[in-house]
Amino acid sequence: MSFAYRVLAIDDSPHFRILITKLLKRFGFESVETGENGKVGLQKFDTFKPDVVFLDGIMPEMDGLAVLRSIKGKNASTIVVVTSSLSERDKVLQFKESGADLYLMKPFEEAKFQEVAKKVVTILEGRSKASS
Amino acid sequence: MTCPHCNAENPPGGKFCSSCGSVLETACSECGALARSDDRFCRACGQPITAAGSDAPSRQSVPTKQYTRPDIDELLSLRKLIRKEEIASKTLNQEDVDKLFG
Repeated sequence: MSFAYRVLAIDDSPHFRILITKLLKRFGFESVETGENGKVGLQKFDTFKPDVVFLDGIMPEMDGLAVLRSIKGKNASTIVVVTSSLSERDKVLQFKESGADLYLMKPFEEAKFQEVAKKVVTILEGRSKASS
Repeated sequence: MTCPHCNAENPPGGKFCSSCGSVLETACSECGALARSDDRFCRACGQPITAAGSDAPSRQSVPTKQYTRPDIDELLSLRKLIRKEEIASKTLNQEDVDKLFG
């Protein structure tokens, strides 16, 4: 099964960008772009116009929270999945309150990634049905 | 305060001589009569005994605890354990996060 939804992954770790690209493509997302930091990620967000963003919580210069707020300010309907090792309740709540749709805690198993990806597809398909 | 037994000088307020362990005597602040430092009232005038030359109330009834090294180590390890549990209660796992995000 493949999906035409556009996915942007923003993470400062090159290894993680390679990994999540493989996982996303293996799951069926055909159109995947990556950004190595918040600034580049936001530039790609403007040009690529993704349906989904997998966003790292901790990044230098511009952290995940600031990027999330900016993305939601630009397009609130974009699904943002925060991928982070941050586990403090207060930090996680900050992401939720800033509009994060899902939270995938690093490190994660592929099964957990697939579970989250299925949720994303369910949300997007639900929107498509509602609008048609 | 001079010990009546060995004449060693002791700081005021103590119950026992730090040199020989004998019961120390003090002077009643009302009538000047000698009294043992663990007396609560003067045998001569009946007034409450306080340490001579001091306006501070008697501390004889205040319980004190001498902490030994093992006590301190145990308290410190308990404090560490409590701190660890406090941190654990504020951190989330993926299951908690899933519930939070619905």
